[in-house]
Amino acid sequence: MIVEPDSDNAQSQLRSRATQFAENIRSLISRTVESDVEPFDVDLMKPQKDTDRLLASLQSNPKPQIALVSSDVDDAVFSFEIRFDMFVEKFLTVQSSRIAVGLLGSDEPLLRYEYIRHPDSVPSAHLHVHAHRDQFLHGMMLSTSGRPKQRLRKLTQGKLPYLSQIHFPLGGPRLRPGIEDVLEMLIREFGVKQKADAVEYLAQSRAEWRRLQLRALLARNHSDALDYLRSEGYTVTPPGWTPAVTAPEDPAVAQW
Amino acid sequence: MTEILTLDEVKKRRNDLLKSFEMPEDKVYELARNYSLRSQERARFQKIEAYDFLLSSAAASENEEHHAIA
Repeated sequence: MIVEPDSDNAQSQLRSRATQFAENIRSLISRTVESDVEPFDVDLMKPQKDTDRLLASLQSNPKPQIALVSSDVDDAVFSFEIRFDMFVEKFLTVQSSRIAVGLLGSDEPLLRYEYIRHPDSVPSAHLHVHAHRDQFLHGMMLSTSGRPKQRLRKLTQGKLPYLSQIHFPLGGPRLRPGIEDVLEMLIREFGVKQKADAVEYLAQSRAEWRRLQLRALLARNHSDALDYLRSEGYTVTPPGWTPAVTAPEDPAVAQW
Repeated sequence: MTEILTLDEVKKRRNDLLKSFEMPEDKVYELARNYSLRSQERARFQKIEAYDFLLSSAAASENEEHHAIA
């Protein structure tokens, strides 16, 4: 087993950044809902010799599902499974993530919230619902083009379509929901047992997440920010340099 | 402290995990897609997915590097 020397300060910092991110998520779950959440598994790899970049994959533990306790039966009923794949550089950049909610004892989840930073033909942030309704499947195969056509072709090969194959879009890369939203949904809609002041804590954490996303939006859409401030009567002085990316070219704004 | 693995170490770990299933690689992925793996197997498969991400991203990084040099 090869372990990089700790004397490499930059690398050590990147390692700390990734493990701290994992600990923050564990801590958020532990602080807000009754669960058996344990420290996440963190896998780190240095892709090349001369690079200040680490690749990190974080997965929830144990089994790999986290058991959540229901308020009514006071017993573990729901499962929660989390995965983040990231580039760790000056900033953490999530490349893909998955939050799956299910019932303990059942392998197939009820819901999956997923994010893919550079998707091929699906929304970058999307929801999968593992449920069934005949009319839905009928609607999924009505057209003779695109994915319905593919589904029909697969049906002739014995592969059934499922509602869970649909990617329901969730606001694109910048406006996607955070883990706080899923946790609050579990508390409010499924009666998962919450800890003291959980909803307030989630709101505070959500605000931090959204401010981060808002800053990322502003950083790449200067002209929108300037237009708004000027419309409110502010006088804005340009910094003397041209921003690298200006609206409306920011692709993340248009991405589904 | 979490160790930082090399490319070769990640490849080895992934392959060792896959071998532990004692079935063809395609079959493992198909069972995972259909939620047909047992609990312990799912935990192992999740590790394989993590290693897949590390390996595919390392390849993407390398391509970026070559592109920059070219």
